[in-house]
Amino acid sequence: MSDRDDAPGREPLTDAELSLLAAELGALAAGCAGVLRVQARPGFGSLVREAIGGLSAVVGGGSGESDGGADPSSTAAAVASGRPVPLVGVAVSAAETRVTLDIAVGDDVSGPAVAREVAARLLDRVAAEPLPPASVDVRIVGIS
Amino acid sequence: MSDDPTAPDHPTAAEPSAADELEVVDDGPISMERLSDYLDAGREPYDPEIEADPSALAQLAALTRLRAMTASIVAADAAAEPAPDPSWIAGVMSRVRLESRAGREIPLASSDPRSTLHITEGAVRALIREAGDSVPGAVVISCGIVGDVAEPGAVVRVEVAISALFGTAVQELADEVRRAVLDDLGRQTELVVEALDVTVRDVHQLDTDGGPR
Repeated sequence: MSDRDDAPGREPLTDAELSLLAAELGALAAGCAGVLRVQARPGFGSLVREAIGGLSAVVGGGSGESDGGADPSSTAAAVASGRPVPLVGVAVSAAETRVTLDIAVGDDVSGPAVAREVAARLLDRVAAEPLPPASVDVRIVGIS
Repeated sequence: MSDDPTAPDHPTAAEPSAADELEVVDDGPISMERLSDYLDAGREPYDPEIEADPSALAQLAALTRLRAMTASIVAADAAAEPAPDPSWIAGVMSRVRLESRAGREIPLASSDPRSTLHITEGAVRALIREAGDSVPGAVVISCGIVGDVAEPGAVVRVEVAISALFGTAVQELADEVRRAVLDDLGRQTELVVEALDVTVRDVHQLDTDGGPR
């Protein structure tokens, strides 16, 4: 991650720290009212590599085994530490940080409102880290 | 089998026929048989692959509703209202399987330009199906969203085909389904629904000897 252009004055996050952040983001999302499940975005690893050039780190996005999520390099940080691969995917380039996740919501709440709340919380959390400007991609994949 | 020549025709769960659908539908990583067995076992032991797959969960939900409907018919009066033909249920499930795929991504509004929010078409179709199935006497055979859903604010048309329980007032049933679907779409999506067409495509098969037709 040596080429990552992070916020000045703080050490950039290591892959292991980024993986922990992804796990924390998953817990934050799961804790939002109306969220039933947080899920990995299928194909996250390959999709984000196609969409964003010059990536310096990609972590999380699921194990990639059964859900078609991230690839081995995206899961390496979690695997190396013996932790589960975070479901939330985080990709970092010199210019941006992209957070990607799927959620299922309850049928007794407003799905769009829940998605907005999840996005706002995650953006607030990522803003506290020495990372390039963040964007978040939240997709509702189930209502039950 | 009924000898009654006035008995309703053998139901067709969807068009094309269930057999045609099954030829088209890729069985995918999680087969219908596996889902059915999992449901039979009370969703135990926990299967993380199934429980993390939105498509599989939508199919499980639909299968659960169909089974509940069948059980309630049998419990109500096995002689007068036997369970629907298993092949009819299989036809409905083949449609569920098709429709539960993620499909197109439908954008949701966000005032924050850093947020990209959307809902999958598969999730919306599952919502429509659940709303329709929640109306007593109705079973959703198929549903679809017609229009450019990927364009924010685009006007769309929703089509829902249902089967009506024999003996129910069809017009009222269709109206109830329309209301239920519109209510849920209004709460869970930002679709601009220009029209919601409910077509009663068949009637649950009733047989006088208690056996499937």
